Amino acid sequence: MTPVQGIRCARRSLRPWLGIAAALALVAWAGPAAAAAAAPVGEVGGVPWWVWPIALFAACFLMGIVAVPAGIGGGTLFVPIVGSFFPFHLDFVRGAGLLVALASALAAGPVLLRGGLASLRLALPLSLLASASSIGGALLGLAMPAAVVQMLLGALVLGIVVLMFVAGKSEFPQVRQPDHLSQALALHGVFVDGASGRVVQWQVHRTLPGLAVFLVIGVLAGMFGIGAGWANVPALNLLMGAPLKVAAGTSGLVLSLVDSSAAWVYLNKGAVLPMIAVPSVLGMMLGARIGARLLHVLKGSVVRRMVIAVLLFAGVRALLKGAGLWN
Amino acid sequence: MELTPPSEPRQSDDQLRYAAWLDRGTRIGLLVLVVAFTAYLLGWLPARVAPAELPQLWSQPLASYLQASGAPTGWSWLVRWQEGDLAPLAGIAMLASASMPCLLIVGLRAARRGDSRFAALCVAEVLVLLLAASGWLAGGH
Repeated sequence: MTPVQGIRCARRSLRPWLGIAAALALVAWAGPAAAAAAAPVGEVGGVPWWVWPIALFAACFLMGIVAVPAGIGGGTLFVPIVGSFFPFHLDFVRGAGLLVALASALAAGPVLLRGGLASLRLALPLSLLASASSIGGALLGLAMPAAVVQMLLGALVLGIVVLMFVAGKSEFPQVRQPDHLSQALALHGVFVDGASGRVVQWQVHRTLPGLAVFLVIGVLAGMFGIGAGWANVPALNLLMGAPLKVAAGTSGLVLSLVDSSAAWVYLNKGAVLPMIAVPSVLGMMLGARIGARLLHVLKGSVVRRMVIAVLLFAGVRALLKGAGLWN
Repeated sequence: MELTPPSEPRQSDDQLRYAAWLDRGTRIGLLVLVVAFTAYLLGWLPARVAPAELPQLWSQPLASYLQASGAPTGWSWLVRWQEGDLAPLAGIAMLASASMPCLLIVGLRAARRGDSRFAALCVAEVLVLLLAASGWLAGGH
């Protein structure tokens, strides 16, 4: 398959999703207004209730658009921004954040797997540890006082900002000799690089340190309800030596498993409010589709700087909100 | 890493089957989520907590919300699926379960061809997901 054929194939596979996303957007946008017409209007601080889900949908739509060119998962933006600037309690924001990251990862997973950009063999051992530890992280996060979680979230978001500044990336890292565990688990694969049109065969090393890192990533994902692509990609690319595109694709597949187990914990605890979760999921998915199409139009570096600035602001806000200094 | 001229690398059958089943599961989950949420918004299903009442609840900590709303924990929502505010949880549960059949299918295929390590990884991941879904660790029912 040539790169042009690949793009056509990807477009064909995305087309039904675009239709679904557009229909979903209509529901998320028009539904609350229609419901408001049919039911008594509840207000908080003079703002009718239905304004919030619509605003949430619009905010997530924008986050979805900028997330792709900025090279960051929408879930990473969701919790700090919605947790800081919307009236919802952080418990529900984290539950919705996990679902946003989960739905995005599930929607992208099949395309990435078919194109070889996500590797099931590479994702499984990492996901196993991360999804087990994400259960612990979710339980811990829901047991801790909200102010403490908010402060830790602020610190984590500021850490992500630093990571976005300093972390390098390697398009095709050199892995001369895969380790024994990597060989035993057959952690290697092949994909066609769309940019060069070449077939790239890859393998990984440092599997044990990689597994240890994903154990920690799982705890963070469960505790904060934050998509962990910001940590998955450097761990897979810089530590384990997976090509950048395989690292990004496999990160999505890992997220689909890790966030599934953490989402179950939030669901069982009653911390999933559909009125927050559903408009968020729909807005983010539709925005991400448009963001992917605008990838060649928007200047990635500019969008990335803008996202870093917003995250910096949201991180400081979360930190101060947790400390009771900015409510 | 080896770069070779273009050819047509085919992903493993396991990976392609996983992708196909994940695609199906995700579409069904999203469809159920949207239909149920629409039914809730438009009042097609009776709800214990109407949308207009939510602003008094969504800013409260989880424990206060559960007490004030009478919202269920664990799997109790399943027996109350006809309630509009709980019906969308079915779609969310489907999305959170979408990976399980995929893992079981590729795990069984791996076991049949004697790839015991890969099969064990698939089964272990399903067990972790089942543990999370059971509500046992979260104190649900």
